[in-house]
Amino acid sequence: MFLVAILTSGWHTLVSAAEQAVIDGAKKEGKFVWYTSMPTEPAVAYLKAFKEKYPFLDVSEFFRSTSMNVWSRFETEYKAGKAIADVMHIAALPPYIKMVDDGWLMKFDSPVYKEYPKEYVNPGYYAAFRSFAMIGGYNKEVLSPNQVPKTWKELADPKWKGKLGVEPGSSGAQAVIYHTLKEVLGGQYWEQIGRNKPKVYTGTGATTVALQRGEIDLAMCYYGYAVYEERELKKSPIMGIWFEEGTPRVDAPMGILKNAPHPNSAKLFLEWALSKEGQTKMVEIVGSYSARPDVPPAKNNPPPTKFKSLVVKDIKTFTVFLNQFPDIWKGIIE
Amino acid sequence: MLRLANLFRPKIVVLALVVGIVITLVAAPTFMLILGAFTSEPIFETDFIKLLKGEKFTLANFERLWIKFDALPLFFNSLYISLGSTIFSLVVGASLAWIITRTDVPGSRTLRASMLIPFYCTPIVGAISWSMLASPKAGLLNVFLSPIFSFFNIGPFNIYTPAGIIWVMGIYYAPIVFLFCAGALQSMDPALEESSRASGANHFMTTMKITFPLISPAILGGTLLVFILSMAAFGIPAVLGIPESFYVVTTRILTLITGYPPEHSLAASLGLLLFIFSAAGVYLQKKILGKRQFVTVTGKGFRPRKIKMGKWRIPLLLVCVLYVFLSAILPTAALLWTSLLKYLVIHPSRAQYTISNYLYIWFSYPNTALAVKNSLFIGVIGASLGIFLNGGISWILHRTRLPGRSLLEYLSMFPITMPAIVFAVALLWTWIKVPYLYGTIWLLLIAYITVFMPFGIRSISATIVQIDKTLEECAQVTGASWFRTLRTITFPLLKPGIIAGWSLLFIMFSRELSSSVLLCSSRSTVMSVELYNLYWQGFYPVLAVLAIVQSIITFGILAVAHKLGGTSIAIT
Repeated sequence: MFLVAILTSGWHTLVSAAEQAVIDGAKKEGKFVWYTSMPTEPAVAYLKAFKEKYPFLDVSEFFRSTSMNVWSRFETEYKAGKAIADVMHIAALPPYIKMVDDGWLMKFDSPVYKEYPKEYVNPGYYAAFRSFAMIGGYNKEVLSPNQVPKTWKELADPKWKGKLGVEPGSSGAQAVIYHTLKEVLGGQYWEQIGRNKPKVYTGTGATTVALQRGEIDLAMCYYGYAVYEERELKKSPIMGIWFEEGTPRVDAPMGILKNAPHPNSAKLFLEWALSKEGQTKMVEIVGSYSARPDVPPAKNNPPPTKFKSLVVKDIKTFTVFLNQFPDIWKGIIE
Repeated sequence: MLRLANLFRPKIVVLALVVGIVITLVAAPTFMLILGAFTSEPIFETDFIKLLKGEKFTLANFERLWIKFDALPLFFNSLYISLGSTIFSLVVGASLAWIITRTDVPGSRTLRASMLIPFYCTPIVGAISWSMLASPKAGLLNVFLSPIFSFFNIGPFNIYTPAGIIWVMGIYYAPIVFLFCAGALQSMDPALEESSRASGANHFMTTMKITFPLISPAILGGTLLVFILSMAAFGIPAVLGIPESFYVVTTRILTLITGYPPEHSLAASLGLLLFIFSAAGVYLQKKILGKRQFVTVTGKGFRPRKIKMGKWRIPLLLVCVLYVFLSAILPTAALLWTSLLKYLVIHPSRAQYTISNYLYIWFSYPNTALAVKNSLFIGVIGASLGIFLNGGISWILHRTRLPGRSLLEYLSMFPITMPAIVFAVALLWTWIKVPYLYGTIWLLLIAYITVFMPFGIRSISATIVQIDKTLEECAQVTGASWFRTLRTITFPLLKPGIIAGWSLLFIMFSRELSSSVLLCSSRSTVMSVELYNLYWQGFYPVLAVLAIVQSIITFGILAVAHKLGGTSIAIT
């Protein structure tokens, strides 16, 4: 008995004093508030998984909306001196760059940042929590196998008129697709797409519903994770196309906010979410790609080695472009 | 004689308290809105002293609205759908009121109760149900009617159009016109009609030339109210308009605040314009109707004879049943069907069914419990506080001769001129810097009580004015104190009116969306906002379950309230 006691007490000291201090702090805080653009159902499941690891935390309060809405609300609250959110995750990089400059993010020197390729982190501040493969989406009950396109280019053909779906000018993902495809396919491409009068859907959910109901034949701003959820989890007839010319890539960061009301809980969440365990869980629940090289993709989604990723190279010019994009996009689709 | 002792009479204290509350609730946010409309930065970021001194005054917002944000098309869109829904609900509401109250159509009591079902429902749930019925490719109606469409070579219904918005709004606002007209039709003096028929006019002529003109104040009152509500409507235009980029003033205000970058000042300016427009409408209503703005059911002995329709009885019944079918049965059926789907489909034959959505809502979705709890709390506590306040105001207005009554009346009816979403913007700014209040349900309570004050007051006033003052005066003459009179005479007589007023407030609080969507936070979410958020993520099946849960809870609470009050569920 004595031996067992010594061995089990030794197990406890494997957690360092610093880590224990964070856990104790989190116990006192008792709560964690996440502001996220991850869809509600997976977000709930993800928080539940986090809670299983740290059962003393209340994770019932979270704010979910589209990336820009989350960012807007956070900014309004911050400027009014309200501290509600602990950690923010949205699918847009420029706000995080701005937040580092303005000192709105907490610096958290965790070893987990070293486990990411350097293009996906700003060590201490944020890292890519989810990575999106921007693909084509379709309903296999609407398009037969020989009707399914293989290239972005063929979508410019007039036969796709009125059958395409896109996201609005406020969508960062749409901006990335526009920017990267313009480089690969040339300036005329988007004008041709515009002439096909694509329909605009705000958010993945709306696009999915449009595909399910047959309102569009092909979604041009669709996500690998959405296809995973539909095809694997719901077993619905929605499928994805990783087009030949390449797959635009969007990395959605996550960081701790400087004014987080529960800083220790925030640290526990961030470290877990960015760890191999948390990333594997993320892939399993929501199906996005992980920026970590040691985490495989979602079931039946192709690994990054099998397709060409198109990334935004110069983030500074892209940030400027992002501000102009709503007007550019309006000119194209109207 | 303003002696010091007189100042502390209970009546004066109550008046001062009530006026103070109403000023805080109504005047402060209005003031902030006006300030914000003429400042180019959000006023909670600006130096308030400089603001008050006028140093930050600018007309830049209005300029930007005109040039960049197409304020004019927005107003045109709002007007278009408002006029459409007003005309639609007028035609439907007035005709059905006449059919049900003045003809011998069978089952008029059941029909009358059924007419009010849409009134209990949350408007966005109606819009979402109709989107399941009439979305262009897979809408259930479109699928079932497609043989007819192809035969006549016409296109399918598309609910995501201004016409679709008008359709749904018209259906949901028709009960308002119905109530106004039915109330007036039932209590009108039959003598004029009878003498018209005695002089040889047939039923149709009598109806057109005598009946409807006699109740024209009620018709106008109801119609104008529907118009004002339509201009302020948010939920239905959001659900059915935004997907096709059809914006009205209210939905644009929301995107200005919640989009990036947040455009608070533009939202304030746009809100101020809408407010001025609404205020003009309310002023017009007052002018046209004079003192009799809301025709009440007096319960006196007029019982106009029902017109015998003979062979037209059944067709008229079918017309009524058609409305109930379109407004209640069909949308509910669509909702139930959706709640059992695994995912949406292009054709009902491909549907896969499951009860997992029900299990998810009950066991897994944390926001269910929070939203239900908050909605119930706000509904029950809010309606009670509201009735208390509104009762106090009504009583001061109709039972006292205190000075400042007309100012109080003006202030407390003021909120109807301001669309709820505009009010929410103003409230957000007024309270965002106050510690603790932002993001809590107390802020929501403040918003709801203020926005619906006019309804609560009218409801209670309707009952107060019917009670003979002499009963109270008797009590006071025989020595009862003011408070005792209130407790033993006035309140018991008012009970039905209070229950009705409470129920009205409860219903309106339960389905409120326009101001909630701005003021709710993660901890203060309510059911309407959850429904709204689930809609934008395309989680229709889960959303359908939540909508059903909300309806059951609302009906349940109302049933309990009326059991306690000993009245039947009917809004007067």
